[in-house]
Amino acid sequence: MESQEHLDSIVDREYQHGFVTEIESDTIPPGLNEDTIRAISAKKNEPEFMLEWRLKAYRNWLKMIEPKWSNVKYPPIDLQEITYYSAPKTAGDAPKSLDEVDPLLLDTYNRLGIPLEEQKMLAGIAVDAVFDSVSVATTFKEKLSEYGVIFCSFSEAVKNHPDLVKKYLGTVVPYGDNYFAGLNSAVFSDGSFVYVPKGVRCPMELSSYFRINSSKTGQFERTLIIAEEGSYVSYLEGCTAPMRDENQLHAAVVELIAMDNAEIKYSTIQNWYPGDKNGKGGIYNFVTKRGKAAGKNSKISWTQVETGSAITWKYPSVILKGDNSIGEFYSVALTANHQQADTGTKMIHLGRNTKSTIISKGISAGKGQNTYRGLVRIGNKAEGARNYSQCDSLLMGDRCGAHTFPYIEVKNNNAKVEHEASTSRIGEDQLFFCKQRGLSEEEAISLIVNGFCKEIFNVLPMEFAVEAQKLLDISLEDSVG
Amino acid sequence: MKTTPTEHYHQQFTVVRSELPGLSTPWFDQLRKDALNRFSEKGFPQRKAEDWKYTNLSVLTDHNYVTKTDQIGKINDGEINSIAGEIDAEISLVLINGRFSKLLGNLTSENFRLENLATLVSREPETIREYLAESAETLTAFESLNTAFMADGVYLHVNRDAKISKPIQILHVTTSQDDHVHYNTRNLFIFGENSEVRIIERFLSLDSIPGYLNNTVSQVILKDGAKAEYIKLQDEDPQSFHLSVHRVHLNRDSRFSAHSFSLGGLLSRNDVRVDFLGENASCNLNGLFLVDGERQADNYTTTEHRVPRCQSSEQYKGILNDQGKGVFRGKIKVHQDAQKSDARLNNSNLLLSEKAEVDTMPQLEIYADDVKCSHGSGSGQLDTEQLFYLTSRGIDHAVAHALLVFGFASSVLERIESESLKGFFKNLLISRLSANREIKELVQ
Amino acid sequence: MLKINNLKVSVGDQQILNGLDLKVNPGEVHAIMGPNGSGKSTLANVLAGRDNYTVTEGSVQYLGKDLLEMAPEVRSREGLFMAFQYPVEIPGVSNIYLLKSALNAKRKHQGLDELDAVDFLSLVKEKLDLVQMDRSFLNRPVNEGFSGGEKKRNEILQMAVLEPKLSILDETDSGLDIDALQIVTQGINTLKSETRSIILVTHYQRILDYITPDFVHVLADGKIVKSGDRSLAYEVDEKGYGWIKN
Repeated sequence: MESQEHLDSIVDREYQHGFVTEIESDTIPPGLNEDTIRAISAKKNEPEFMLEWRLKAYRNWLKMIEPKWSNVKYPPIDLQEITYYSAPKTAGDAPKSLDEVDPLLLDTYNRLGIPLEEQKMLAGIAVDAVFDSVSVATTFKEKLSEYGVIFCSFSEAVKNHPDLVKKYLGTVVPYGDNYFAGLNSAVFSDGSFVYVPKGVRCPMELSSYFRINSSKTGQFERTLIIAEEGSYVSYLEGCTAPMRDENQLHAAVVELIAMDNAEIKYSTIQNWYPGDKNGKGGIYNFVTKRGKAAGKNSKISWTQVETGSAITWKYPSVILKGDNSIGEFYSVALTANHQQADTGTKMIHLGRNTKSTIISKGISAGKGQNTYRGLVRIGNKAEGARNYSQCDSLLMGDRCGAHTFPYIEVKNNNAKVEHEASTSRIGEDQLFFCKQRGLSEEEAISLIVNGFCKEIFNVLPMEFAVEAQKLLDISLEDSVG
Repeated sequence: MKTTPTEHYHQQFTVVRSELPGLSTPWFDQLRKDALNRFSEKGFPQRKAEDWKYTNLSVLTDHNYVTKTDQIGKINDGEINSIAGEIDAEISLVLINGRFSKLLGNLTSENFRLENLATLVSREPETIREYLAESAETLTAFESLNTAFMADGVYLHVNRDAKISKPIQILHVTTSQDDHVHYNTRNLFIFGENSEVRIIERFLSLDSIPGYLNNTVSQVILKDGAKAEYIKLQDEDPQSFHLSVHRVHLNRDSRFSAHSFSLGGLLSRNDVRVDFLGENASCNLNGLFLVDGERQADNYTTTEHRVPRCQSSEQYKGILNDQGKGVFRGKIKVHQDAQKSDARLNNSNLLLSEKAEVDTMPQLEIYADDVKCSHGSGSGQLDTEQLFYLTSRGIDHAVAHALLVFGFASSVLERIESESLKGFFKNLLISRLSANREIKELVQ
Repeated sequence: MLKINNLKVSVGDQQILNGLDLKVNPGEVHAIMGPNGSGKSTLANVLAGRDNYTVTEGSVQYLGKDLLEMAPEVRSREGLFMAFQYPVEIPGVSNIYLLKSALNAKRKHQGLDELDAVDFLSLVKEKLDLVQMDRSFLNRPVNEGFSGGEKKRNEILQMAVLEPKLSILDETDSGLDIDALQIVTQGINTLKSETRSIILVTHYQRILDYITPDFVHVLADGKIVKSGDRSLAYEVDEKGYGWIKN
């Protein structure tokens, strides 16, 4: 079948961000034990409480076993082979200004389309750039501090705002939560920290760009966002990595806390290296993301566009604790070649009149396996709770898979829970229609796929919606030519 | 020290083995032993097991069930006949306490052969060998126990091209016996090429009996072009346990329509596993469960689309009252070669009280692209707009409530093809609603 | 028949009706007109007894009794009928169940025997003809899959069967084409009598071409701001609601 070949060629795409930056690194030798953890902590000049917390997490983690329940398959990961800390040498002491940042690093981010020079920045977006294990630059810090917004690397937060870190770290994702979160808690190297004070509407979009560069390195970043009463913040993360034959582990933890009337919007464009078309290499993206809508009328919204990684395994979740709080999950996950994704969300309704919405769009192509797995739990005190879930799958080709595993638990009869799922493919008639209207096959596919994802792109911050759409287009178009 | 389940069932086996059918048939005896060994290896599922995560298994596994071999229990013949007579059946086969009791009705049909399993095993075991051997791969520990201890059941073979218009009834009646007895029945339904048949299988308790377990396994085979409607009613004592497994094999152009009504039991569970083995087959699975008190009803279905161009449609509804609990998992798996599959599944639940709970898992696992698959699920209470509309027309609040509950359930009733059985279940359902007298007059 | 005195009603924190007065005598047809948000539908719903509306002040006397004290089903049995603007769909409950139980509830309330099946069916058949509905409608679930016009005709069918003393028609003309409007209004006119009263709640005067009102009231900000005869409706139609407010 002609269009089958076409689909194959489309999914057989090239990765755009696969280059390696030749930069000298300060690296701790591979291996995982208490000494590794002490070494990471020492490198970062951490206060005692942080080391203690790491060690507690590590000792607890030793008792945990790697979970096997997901729908993804991968060979055992040897955690002793991984390097847990790697930092560009020139970034040793955090640069005071952008002028001190290694030009090679600036160039790297430029090539990724993320200019760190503030004057060149898209208006109103502050960036924290994380390269391997450390944050190399954070822009617009001063402007933000005028509003009382703290936006810095996690390491800086540990040093400069230890009380905040102490108060909130691990309160949403405790170190005993799961195997990979436990590992992260022991060895995390950096990440972003955001604190928005009471009543402040953060004046610009905040974003972090994560880059894995060194080989045999794991990336374990940790992000903590606290939105005080009546505040608002929109945060976006992007991720890329070089093309390497080995599989690299990325085990991050993200914790969000929204107080009364606060809103956090968290968007992800995940484009880690997915491996080659034979399934060699690529990132294992095993991430724990959870938000606590702690306050009354608070709102947490997750949006994700997942096109990268060999394996994605994550469930950005919301604990709806405050009365009238709102949780949202909007997701596009594309799996092509040998990529696997097992992703979804958990909406835990505890407070009264809590509402959640789940819209998940899975696109499977090549031999990709795409799984939506989600939990909606209505607790017995969640009077008037509402949930609406919709999971749609688009299959491109007959060697891929699309799977939907929702779990719906209702313990309050005054709640209303609705779930719908459907599966479709790009129909021959749809393609023919588009061609008859003068579109090429690749344009037609792009049009249909973008239409399929529209509901998700609509909720991304504007600049990133464009970026996400381009990313899907590139993923599709590149291979056609 | 308390005996472990493994020790207990091995002991039981030694005690009752000679009383169970098939001892003189080596392969049959071996089948039992193998099943018992599989049970020992696997043991009862753990609470954490995916298939049991919403079910408190300990109420089942804390007891060591015994098999009764000596007597059938005291029965009132007239009562049995009148229960059987509630259905206008072609023929009725009655089992009491898991053992064959009698046949009622037209006994000399040339269209089918209906016999109890124990008799068949003793007289001509080879007839069923291929079917029993096939089930060696078991689903659960309970299915293994069923194979090890099966005492009786039903063998029904419908001849090629036979068309049987009235339903064939299988009546399982449990009467008072000791505490914690288990009844392991095994059914074999084989529907020949292009045959048409309708079965109703009913599970009832005559007295209030503490904590017995009905553990039943059925194999259903539809040959090419066969059409079968199968209705199961579980209406047992509210203290009893009921476990059932159906393995359904659908061959080319066959059509299977099943309706399951779970009304009784402290804990009941239905596992229905449908395999499409031939193209152009279709399957409708419907179910309704009613729980109140602290009772729980589980329904697990798995539909395997293994070949192209098959159609499955599934609808389960739950009505939950008091502290009742319901669990539904419907899994649709479309294999790589099963192009042009059409699979739909829906589960809706009505929670009528604050403490009721429902856990539902509609699942799709799709490995082919040219398919139409969807599932939906909804849970909530009665619609206040609908209630207001009815009461604004002068209808009593209680009647309006019952009318809406009946309306909710009626889509499952409507899918029953046989008009007479539809009427039977309509009345049965109404009799369980709170304002049943008023409703009954209305909906006649 | 109906006497509304200084009625104040709120929904949540918002006050919708601000001291409304209205008197309806037997045999009268009153049209209540008003722009969107003026409180027309609130009035209809409060009279029918819907939840979520809080009466903060005022009284409503219906046939000498306190209407607000009555449950919705009692109001209905006492002869008050509301034709809904958006009739709800009730899957699984057929029209015939609804009609039978509603009529029997009313007869029981009046101390009459329930109708037997034959009498009931012949009554319903007669009323079906009135709204030009096919018998098959009876076995269809209430309003499920009905077109907008069919839903409104179904409301009038119920009205015809229940023979109410006071009918409140909430935007019954909305969404109807000219043919359906004729059928519906013909049905309503047949039910008019010297002892029965009708309140027509409407945005447009169009329906008044078919059902002649004795009084026309214009509602704005939760109060009747102007009352008159038929000609007031034409004036509103011509000049819009802004004219009255100013």
